[in-house]
Amino acid sequence: MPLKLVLIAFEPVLHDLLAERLCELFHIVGAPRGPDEALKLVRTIAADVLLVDADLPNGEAGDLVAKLSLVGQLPIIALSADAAPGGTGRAALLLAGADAVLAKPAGPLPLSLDGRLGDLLESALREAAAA
Amino acid sequence: MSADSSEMLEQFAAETQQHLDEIEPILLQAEWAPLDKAAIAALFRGFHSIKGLARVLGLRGLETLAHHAESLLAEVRSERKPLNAEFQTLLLDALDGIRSLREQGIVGGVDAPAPRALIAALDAAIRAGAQDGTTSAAAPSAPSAVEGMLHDDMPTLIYFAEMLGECLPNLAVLVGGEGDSDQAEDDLESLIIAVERLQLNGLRADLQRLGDASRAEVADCLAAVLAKARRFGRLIDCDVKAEPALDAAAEALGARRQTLARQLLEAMRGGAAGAAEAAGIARRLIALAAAGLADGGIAVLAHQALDDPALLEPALAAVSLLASPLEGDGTDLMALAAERLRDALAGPRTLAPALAKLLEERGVVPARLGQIDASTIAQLATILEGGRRQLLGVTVSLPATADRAELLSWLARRLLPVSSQVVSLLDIDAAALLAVGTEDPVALRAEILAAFPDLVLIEVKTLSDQTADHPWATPRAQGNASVIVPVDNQVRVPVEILDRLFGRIGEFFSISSALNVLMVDSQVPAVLHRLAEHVVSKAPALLPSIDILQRQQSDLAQVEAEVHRLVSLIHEATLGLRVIPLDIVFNRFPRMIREFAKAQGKQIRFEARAEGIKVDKGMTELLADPLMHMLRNAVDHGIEPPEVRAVAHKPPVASIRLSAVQHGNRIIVEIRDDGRGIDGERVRRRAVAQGLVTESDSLRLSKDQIHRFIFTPGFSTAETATETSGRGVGMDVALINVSRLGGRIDIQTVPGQGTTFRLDMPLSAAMQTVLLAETTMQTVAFPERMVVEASTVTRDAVQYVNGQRAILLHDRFLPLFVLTDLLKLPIRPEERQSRDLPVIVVTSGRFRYGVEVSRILRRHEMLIRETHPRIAQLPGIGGVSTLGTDRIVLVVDPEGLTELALGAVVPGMRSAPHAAE
Repeated sequence: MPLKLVLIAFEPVLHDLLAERLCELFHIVGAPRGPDEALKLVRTIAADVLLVDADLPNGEAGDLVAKLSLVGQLPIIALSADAAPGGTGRAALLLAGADAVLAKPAGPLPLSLDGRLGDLLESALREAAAA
Repeated sequence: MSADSSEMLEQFAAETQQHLDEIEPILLQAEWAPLDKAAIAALFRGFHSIKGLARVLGLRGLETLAHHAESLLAEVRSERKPLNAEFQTLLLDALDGIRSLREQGIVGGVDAPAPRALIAALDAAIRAGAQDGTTSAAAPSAPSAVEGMLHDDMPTLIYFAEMLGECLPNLAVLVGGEGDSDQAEDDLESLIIAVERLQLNGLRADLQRLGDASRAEVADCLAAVLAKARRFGRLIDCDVKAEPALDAAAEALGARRQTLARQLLEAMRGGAAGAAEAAGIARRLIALAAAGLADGGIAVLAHQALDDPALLEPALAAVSLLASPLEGDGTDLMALAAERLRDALAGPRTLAPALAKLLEERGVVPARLGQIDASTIAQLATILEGGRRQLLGVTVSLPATADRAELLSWLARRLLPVSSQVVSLLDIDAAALLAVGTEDPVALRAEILAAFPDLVLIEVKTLSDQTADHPWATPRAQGNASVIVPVDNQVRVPVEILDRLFGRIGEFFSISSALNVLMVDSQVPAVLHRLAEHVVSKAPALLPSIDILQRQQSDLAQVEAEVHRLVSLIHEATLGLRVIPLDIVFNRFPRMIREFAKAQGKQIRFEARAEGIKVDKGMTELLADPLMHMLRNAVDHGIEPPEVRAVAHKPPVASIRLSAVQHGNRIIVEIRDDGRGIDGERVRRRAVAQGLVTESDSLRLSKDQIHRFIFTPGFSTAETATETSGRGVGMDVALINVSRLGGRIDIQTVPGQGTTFRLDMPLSAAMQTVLLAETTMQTVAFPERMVVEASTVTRDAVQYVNGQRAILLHDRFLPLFVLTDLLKLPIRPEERQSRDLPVIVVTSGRFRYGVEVSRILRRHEMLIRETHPRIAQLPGIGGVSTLGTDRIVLVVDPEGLTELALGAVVPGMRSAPHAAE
């Protein structure tokens, strides 16, 4: 039985890339396209883990993660372009309630999820769901 | 109409105009890049203000239309709807409607009704999507409409925040703090009921866990509750008074942290076996930090350090601080340890000053690149090695989802970008990549198109000093529509009043200059000196009188110098008052291009970047027409129809870019298109057909000389005139106006790839520093920028090199021309016989030559007056001015004079000018 994943990435291009990479390994049970929809879904949905793209065009990335952690009970993996080790972006996401933060290697749009980033993503989601 | 109401109307006209001017460029910008919150807020504010102003004047129709536009923007502002192309067009239509209603209100005092169809369309857009329950058609001001709120009932959220403030401190008793445990249980229950109602299920789970927790877990559970409560308070901007709760539970939470830190140390020392356990413990420590227990950031840093064995030592050192009781609050020690760990984690993350400067020059803001780690820095730093390595900006439209991965991974492999992001252009999703490479943009573009021929849009450019229009620039530099923040301490002065003031100050300045000329040229001191010498020997009794004359002359000179200095300062300051942002001119064009392009069925991405440059108001007036003609030409003749572009394997969306940069006191305006380029052969044939040049002469002309025929009045290569251009009117106006500004136009064109018109003009056309010289009958001014040196040689020094007059100066032969010959000015022949030969050495482009004059006068600051077009057309003359009150001065046009000189070079010397460099 594949793990159930809620995929929150409002940027459609990245959303499709992530969905394509993860759909065979996880059962994507929800993919909201806006903050309202995301909060509504996370309040009620039964899933194992939540993946959120924290690079929002407007607003603080930490805020969305904080809201998701308040309204839902899923482990949260945040993906961010501003998550260099030791940086404030990563710290903000962890303090906001993310269980793990993965850094996008170069800018907000990872061009390929076939390599290392895809593997890291997969293992982080599995570990968080197991914990 | 009473004086009051006419004043009100004037105020209304001025203020609404200001809002309209602010709104339009932002709306047009939305076509190419998503607007940020500030821009949407500015649009909303603009329509809202117009609505208010209309209400004051009782213009109901205008008020209604502005209200509908505002309501649609409210939907966008609250992120319920995106500002898509349909909304953009609707809002532009609304803007036109507002303009028309405003005009009717101002001119005829008519309160015309808002166009029904437009109101209906706006209504439909506002209501669209409301039925599916995901959005609501709430009024613009309703606070519940904010996207992503924790709950739509704000008062209830605030009430809950107050409840948390009351209840949280009482929970400390659960971890062994002081207090009433029955009260704590009641409070816990109340909180659980409240969060159930608010559906804060994450917090509810933590509260329930706290109620059921064993002694070992209770501190962790309380920390989790406190952390979420703090986040809740921050999100709704209310104080949940977590501090008293933290203080009450400090002892238990501190002890728990020590225990957890000790466990973490053990797990970390356990190597890989303890990895999973360590991560779990670190997360609990993070919850304690999030609850408010200060640790200098050690918990989050330690969590990050777990994966890297190289970081074990500083991580252990930092965590061990948390494992033992600290003297005092220990914050300094924790901060130090955290800092060490942070440095170890980050590696060399600071940009070297040279690299930071280079990025700044390219308009790249490091914060917009994403994470800057050591590898990014290393990649960027290769640019500093020199050679042809440059920053490349590549933007490609994205194909359908199924084909995206192939394109993106190809680009990743090919370019190894430093940063990538999604951008939206003309509602088309595109990927923008920033890379470091040695590729020629044109070749790279061709390579990408060869691999993916179906791309709708592609742009490859080198990020040079002049480009700040890319996704990695500051948001301000990205758009041509910077949001204008209203400033209160400004006075609105009609430009006519300013112009009158400037006129008078200008006259004042002229008189002061005349006085200055009188003083400088004055023979009085010399005469007095001779008189004094004479008086000493011949009439000593008159010496005191001579003394008085000399003293007064000296006082007069001093006062004159001071007056001249002050008048110059005032004049300079008024020139500063006249400057206005070039944006005001540039902002006229996006809409124009949009309409022209639509009318011709062309898709054009137009960008205008004025980079905040301010220019003299007179300059904007002279520039507006040339730019309009040249842009029309670009749309009409430059950009090919989509089907022609398709055949040429060019993306259907064409690009026209209007940019301005300032180099010192010059401004360069460029109009660059990626169209078909100028067909030189066709221009040559038309020039011959129109009798501008004979067939045989035309064959001897350089490409550049042929291209310049397009500036000839009446010249057009178009077979048929269109609505926009093709009648041969326009480019000549462009050249004349730019010449009047003391500038020149260069053309660079590559067949099939596009054309760039480059307008190079002095920034302050009004004031120029010149070197004054005289021919036998005329005073001539040489703009300082063209003068290399002024020198006097003997007439014998003139030699002939292959028949060309030349002088040997600094061991080089310099071609020599007589100014009156070049400019065809009249002369008095006898004057040309003096022994000394004053020569002004001038340069323009790569050509350096000597110009023979009769007398070299002095350096002078000169107000260049607007020139009659007929004079501006005289070859070699760029303008006229007056010196003092009556001397007319011809101001040389450097490029024009050089062209004349090049034309006069004796053929045998033709190669000499370049050799002389």
